[in-house]
Amino acid sequence: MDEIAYRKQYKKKLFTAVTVRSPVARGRLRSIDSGSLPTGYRLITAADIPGKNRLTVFQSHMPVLAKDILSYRGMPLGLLVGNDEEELSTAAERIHIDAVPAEPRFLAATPGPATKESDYRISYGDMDFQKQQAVQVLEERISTPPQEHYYPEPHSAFALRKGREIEVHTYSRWPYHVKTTVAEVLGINPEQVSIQIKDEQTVLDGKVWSSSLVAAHAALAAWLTGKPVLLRYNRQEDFLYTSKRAPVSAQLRTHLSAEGYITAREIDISCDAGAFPLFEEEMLERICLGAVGQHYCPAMNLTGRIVTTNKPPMNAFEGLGTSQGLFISEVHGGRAAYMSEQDPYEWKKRHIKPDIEEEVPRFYREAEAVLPALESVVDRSDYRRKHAAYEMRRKRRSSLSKTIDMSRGIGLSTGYQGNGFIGRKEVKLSKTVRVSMDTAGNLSISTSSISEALQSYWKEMAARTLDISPEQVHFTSPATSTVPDTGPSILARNLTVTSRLLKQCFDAIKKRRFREALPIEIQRSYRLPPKHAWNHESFEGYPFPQSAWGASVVEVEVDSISFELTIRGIWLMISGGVVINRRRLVSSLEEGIRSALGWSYHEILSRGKAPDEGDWHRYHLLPPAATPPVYIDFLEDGNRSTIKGISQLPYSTIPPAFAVAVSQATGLDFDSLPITSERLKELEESS
Amino acid sequence: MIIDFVLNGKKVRLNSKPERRLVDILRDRYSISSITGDCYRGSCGNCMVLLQGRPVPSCLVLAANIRNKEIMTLEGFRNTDEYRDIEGGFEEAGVKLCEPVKPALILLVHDLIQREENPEQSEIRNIFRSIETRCGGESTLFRAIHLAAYFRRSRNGS
Repeated sequence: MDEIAYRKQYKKKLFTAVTVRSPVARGRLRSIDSGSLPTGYRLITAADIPGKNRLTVFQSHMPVLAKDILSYRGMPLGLLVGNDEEELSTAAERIHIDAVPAEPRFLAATPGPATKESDYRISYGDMDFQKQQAVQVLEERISTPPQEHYYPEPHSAFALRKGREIEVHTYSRWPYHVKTTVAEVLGINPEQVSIQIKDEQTVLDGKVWSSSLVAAHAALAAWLTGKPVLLRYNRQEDFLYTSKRAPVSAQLRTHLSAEGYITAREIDISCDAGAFPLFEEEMLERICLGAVGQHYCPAMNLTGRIVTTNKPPMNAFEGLGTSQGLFISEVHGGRAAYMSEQDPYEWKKRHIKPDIEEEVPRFYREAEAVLPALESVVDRSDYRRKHAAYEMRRKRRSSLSKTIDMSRGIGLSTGYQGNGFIGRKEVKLSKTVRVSMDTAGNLSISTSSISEALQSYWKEMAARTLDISPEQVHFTSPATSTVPDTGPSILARNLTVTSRLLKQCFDAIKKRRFREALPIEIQRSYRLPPKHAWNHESFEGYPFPQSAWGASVVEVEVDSISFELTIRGIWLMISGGVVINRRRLVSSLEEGIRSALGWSYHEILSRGKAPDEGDWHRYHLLPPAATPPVYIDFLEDGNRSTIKGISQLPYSTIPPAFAVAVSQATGLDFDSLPITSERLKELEESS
Repeated sequence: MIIDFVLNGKKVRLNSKPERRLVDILRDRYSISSITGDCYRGSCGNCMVLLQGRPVPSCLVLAANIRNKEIMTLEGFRNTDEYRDIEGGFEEAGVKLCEPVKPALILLVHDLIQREENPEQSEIRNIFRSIETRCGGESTLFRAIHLAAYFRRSRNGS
């Protein structure tokens, strides 16, 4: 946010808002007392909200300001506004909050009070028969930790009241959600609300609904005071009180035949959504589908549930849960291969493309598309030779500490990126683009995406299709007053869905431009293709509008004295449509690899409690300097004109490959991340 | 407390509490927008400035410590040939940085190639320890820095 520009423009008229927060993780609010405030300053509470005190995502809600029930430490319960930051800070310290604390609930490992709506089930195949075919059972619990987004800029919003209308500036991946939230909170018509959208890189599918909360606070303060209001979290506030990647825990029971084939699988998944499950339906489905994985299983019983705890809302991260689910299925699959005493590559290949007569559900058949990437990454990393050599050494030693030199391991993993929302949700979310050509032949594109890279791609696409100069292609100002509702810009929807709609608009203009008088305006909305029908209960159809595929190998080395963990190399092979700008793609994937490795062994955030000041001081990102040698390559997938989102693939494939590699190097099994040197030492000493 | 210092080549006089942080002074009093007060613990790099020619996080510098010192922010550095070397390197490598991390990276690269004409990988790695960001891929960042060093050497005729 250009805070200085606002200060220059509005000078002393600019008010700043400070969020007053709950001091307890669980409890009841009795009162908030601001004492005497400087003239013009105001404490806004839930009682002042003119509209509805709620933020809604699909069918789920959370209060915009806590009224009586306190559900997590730091939950917003008031807004203090004034025009001098120092005075504001002093006034904030004087605020007295009378709250009755209760015992908070932080752990989601055991099934909690799941709501009926949030339960998710997959059940197919003859479970009893398939269990009888098995000779051994692999049972374990695997879990994944939370992760901080660490946005380039913490959450912020600026709001300006203009009579009966309000204008809000904020970073958001879902501008129309900000608009409807602000309208609902202020009790006004959405037409009275305009949102100016700011662009931001590397938000990892975050800032979807959380920006709407901050924007609603700024708008509420501006509406009630009549002043322009700026609300900006500092980094610590953002870290402590905004949503994180949701932690997941799964109990798995896999039945294996004498030949090592999976015959049946039972999975029970809990996802900790923190105090308020928002976006939970899509997230839970993605976690569950990830946990089903790509290895064919003839009979499956899966139950997934969202569990609420007294943490800040735990929510979307890159892929909305796919990487948590895939971590579970890939690590478990790796163990199943070991248990069957089979080469993990051969075991995986046989399960991705089973040599059987009965019909395999389409969900698994689609996964065969990962095989070229799998074979390529295995070749390039010399996986089979290294795996055999390290396995021989692993079997010879009794424990890591009895090894006198470095111990090595190598892990293999495959994964996918499901672009767009699952099934009919993609249709429910408005996805409209508008393109017009004026009398001079200039093209104007209206979409809420303001990514520079995407705009440059669309410019080239328009210029090529319509045989005009890229300079003739313009984008309308990124505000809800000028662009149509294109839904949330996450899950690579802009790259896949919007690109397709824009191409349809360009083609339509191409057909009509010499037959009709200019100007021409074309609008296109997304329709679900019939082949994308999906029924999770019967496991029929395919959930994603589009998928990209990837395979990773990670090779590690562990010092048997110091337990220092070194990654010797990472290989990532991607089969994900046409490559537009290879250098930019590699750069973006390298960013993803660094964050995926951070989740795997560096970024430590306890899942057993809400983030606190200690976490804030300890939490650090993996610097670019720490990244090991990375080899990335792309495979053509046959469709040369299809552009796909692939940036989630490092998150889906690298953490499980890493965990399996460390297991081979140490002989220890890991049921969760992060795997740090300290944890290795503890595990080795206790084993 | 009256404090004289040089900001982006101009002498300035400031009346401030001695414990005020430099990042807040630069933003509030001098409208320096390239930096932000973000982590306030010196780890993110978003408030990086040159103090006596060396990069420092301005959230860790107090007003009392800048008396008679020379401070340069990205706004001032942008007008120099040294900046153009780095800008050229980043453009050539195709690096698209997140805005908040830009000043830190540019000033740190300047400091590095000022000291080392042809920096080694290990020296490049060191500068990343002063910033905290998820932005930027390794290979393009490293290439950008090598190119910036090359442009600097070419301009200096070495």
